[in-house]
Amino acid sequence: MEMRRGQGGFVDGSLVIARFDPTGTAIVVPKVEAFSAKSFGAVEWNIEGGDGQEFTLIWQNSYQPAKVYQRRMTRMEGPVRAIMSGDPNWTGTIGGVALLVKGKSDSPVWIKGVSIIPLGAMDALAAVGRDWFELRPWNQTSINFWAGSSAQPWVWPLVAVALVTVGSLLAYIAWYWIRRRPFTREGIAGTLLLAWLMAGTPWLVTLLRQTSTAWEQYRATGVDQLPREERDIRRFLDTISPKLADPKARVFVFSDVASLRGMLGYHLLPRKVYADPRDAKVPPASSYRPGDYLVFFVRSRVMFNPNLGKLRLDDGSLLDVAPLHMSDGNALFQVKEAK
Amino acid sequence: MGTFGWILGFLIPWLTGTMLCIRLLPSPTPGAWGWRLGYGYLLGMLLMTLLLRIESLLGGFSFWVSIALCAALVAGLYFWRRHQGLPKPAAFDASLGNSGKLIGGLLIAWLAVHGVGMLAEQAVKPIYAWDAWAQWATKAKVWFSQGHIVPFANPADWLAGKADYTDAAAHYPGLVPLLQVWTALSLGRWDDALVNLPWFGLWLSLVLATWGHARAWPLPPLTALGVTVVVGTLPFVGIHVMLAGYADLPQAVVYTLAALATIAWTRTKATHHAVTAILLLLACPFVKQPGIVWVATLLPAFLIAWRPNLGLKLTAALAGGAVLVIGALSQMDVTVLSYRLHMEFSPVWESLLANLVLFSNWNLLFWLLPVALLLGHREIRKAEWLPFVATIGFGIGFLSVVFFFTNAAAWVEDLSTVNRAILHLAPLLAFFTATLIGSVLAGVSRSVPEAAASTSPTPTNDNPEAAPATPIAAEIA
Repeated sequence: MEMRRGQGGFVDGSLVIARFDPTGTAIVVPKVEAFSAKSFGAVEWNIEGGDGQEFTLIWQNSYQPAKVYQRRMTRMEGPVRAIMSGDPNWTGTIGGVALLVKGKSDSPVWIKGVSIIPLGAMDALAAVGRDWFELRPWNQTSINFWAGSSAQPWVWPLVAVALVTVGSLLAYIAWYWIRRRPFTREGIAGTLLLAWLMAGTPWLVTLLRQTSTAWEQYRATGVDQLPREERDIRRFLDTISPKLADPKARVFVFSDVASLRGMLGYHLLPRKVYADPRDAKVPPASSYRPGDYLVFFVRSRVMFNPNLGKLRLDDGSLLDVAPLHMSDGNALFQVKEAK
Repeated sequence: MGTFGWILGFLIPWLTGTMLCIRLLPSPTPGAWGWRLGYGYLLGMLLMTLLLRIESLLGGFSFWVSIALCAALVAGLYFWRRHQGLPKPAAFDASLGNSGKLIGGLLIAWLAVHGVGMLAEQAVKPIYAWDAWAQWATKAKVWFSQGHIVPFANPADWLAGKADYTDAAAHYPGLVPLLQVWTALSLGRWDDALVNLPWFGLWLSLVLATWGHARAWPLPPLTALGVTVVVGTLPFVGIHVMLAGYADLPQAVVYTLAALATIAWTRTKATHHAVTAILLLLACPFVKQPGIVWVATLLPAFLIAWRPNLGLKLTAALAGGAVLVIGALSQMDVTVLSYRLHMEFSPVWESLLANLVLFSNWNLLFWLLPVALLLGHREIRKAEWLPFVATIGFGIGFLSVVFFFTNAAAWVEDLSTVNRAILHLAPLLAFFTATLIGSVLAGVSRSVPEAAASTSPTPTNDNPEAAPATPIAAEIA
């Protein structure tokens, strides 16, 4: 895989999108041999993180090789998937696929790989069913919407339930009208309530499965089961916490990713924490007191000169600090002298 | 104190609020226990946040002092009108046939599965969503650790040394964090998952109060249960119970119960509705800043109940005046409650409609709303429905201004805030929709004035849930 737009690099075999281009997009292109559209009906991207980001599949076919087609994809349990069977532009020989990521949130994206999957008509139908009942695990955007798209743009389960309900009611009323009997109100009330329960079933299934997943994740003793962002933060906290020896000292938290900045800041409370959720900038050197801690987590442009013991801040000013921890681009410093 | 304290911290405020509600509504009206328990939890928790504020001023939070004060209040309320005794526990309607009981049991089971699932999830899932750990639980965690309320400043002021603590919204009200502080006090430690128990309690409060109001409307038991299921199983309400920590669900529950009490008061003039409406309307702005606007949406209901004809004219004048004021303010590029008004219409219909009718965030609510209006177009013109219709109209009007004429239009398109704004109104809208359909289909066209019943000093031994739902010929004058 390689990036055609945006910036990123490989960590543990995964391509990490670290930065989007000025238009807020990143494009990842995998090395895929050309294949027949008839033989393969789905594309799955194995992705971790990326809560709230918008994923779009891009492809070219042999009939109009100069044209680039797009399809928005849905984030379900596990991979990000596009069911291509039935799409009129998924035809002929597919010359290549790519992933377009639109930066809708600050959540980082780890891309592990892509799979092109054979899919028949029945499989496609089953995929529609899965779209409705498959677990949509909570992510950072769930607090804003539970459902925000469909894997099959031409099938909306909620609309289907509504239309079936309207059809049933009309048939019910027509039946009684033909038989010249007054229809019962209980029948209408029951139909409407049944429709409500049917439309609510995927939600209930999701709730119960999610509860089961949450118990597995959070009742486990280690951090390995946790979602990626939480896992990384817990590990980092376990490393730096013993080094934050002075509980009364102020702690400045910096990260390029707002969500990581806020989450890390929350976990460091009730220390006197500074983690500005709206601004990733490092305040000037005059803002610090001796003894203050500076935490850098997933933060680029951190320049520290170990020989001089000086940290260069965003405005170019220098700060005398003692390094307490440095690994994997993350760091903890303590201010020696403010200027 | 651990689990025992945690459970005690859940039950004691509930008991206190319920005792207050028993004294407000001693008589066995339909749905009375649902009303008492639903309003009881909410009022009890609001009282607890008030006690914590007072304790903080006097030196610091104390779990046992709070418990002792609540116990004293419960005892005082018990002895205040001791001759009334306590109402008997409710039983399900004995007049229901076997099939009715079976359907009723299934609907209760459906709700119970939702409740148990949400509680189980909440018990293990730590504070998860953005604002929860950026601007709400931040305060709670610090206040709990310090033992009293300490000020927060915005980041710039914090850098200037004006406070020890900062977060994303230092100026936000403290009521919601105090719910978590109380739960942590009762647990004896800060637990990222267990401090969220009040969000489950709020859902329970909403469900029970919905049942109480639906039965008192008066709807027959099964219809009232259907209304309760509709309100209690809105998917997006459930999301905010499980991913607890935001102020939107507390705002929704406080507003919904305030609005239902206000509307019930306009129909019945019963004292218990007036008292609960006033208490909850006072609490609304302390939950979240838009609470003050939600309080204003209930003004037409009061006006119409006060003088129906004059009230309608005043309501129309209010609506016109609001349009003029908003239009004028938008010319000045004013920011109100964090929303920047602008005159330019933002056509976000497509995103909004997709969110309401295609995605499953609100189940079939926005499909059923037009059905309800179609079925109940005659019903809603009646005097008893007008305050409710005006409230819903003003609520939708407020949301429309936010979505179409402020910077929130962008948040509709990316779905970032639209559902959270709708959440404040959605339970009330669901109650309106389901009750309107239920009223039409159950043939309930007139109201039962509860005033006489609620002021009756002596409870009877009748089964309150078995009270007949037969309407009587009494129109609100």
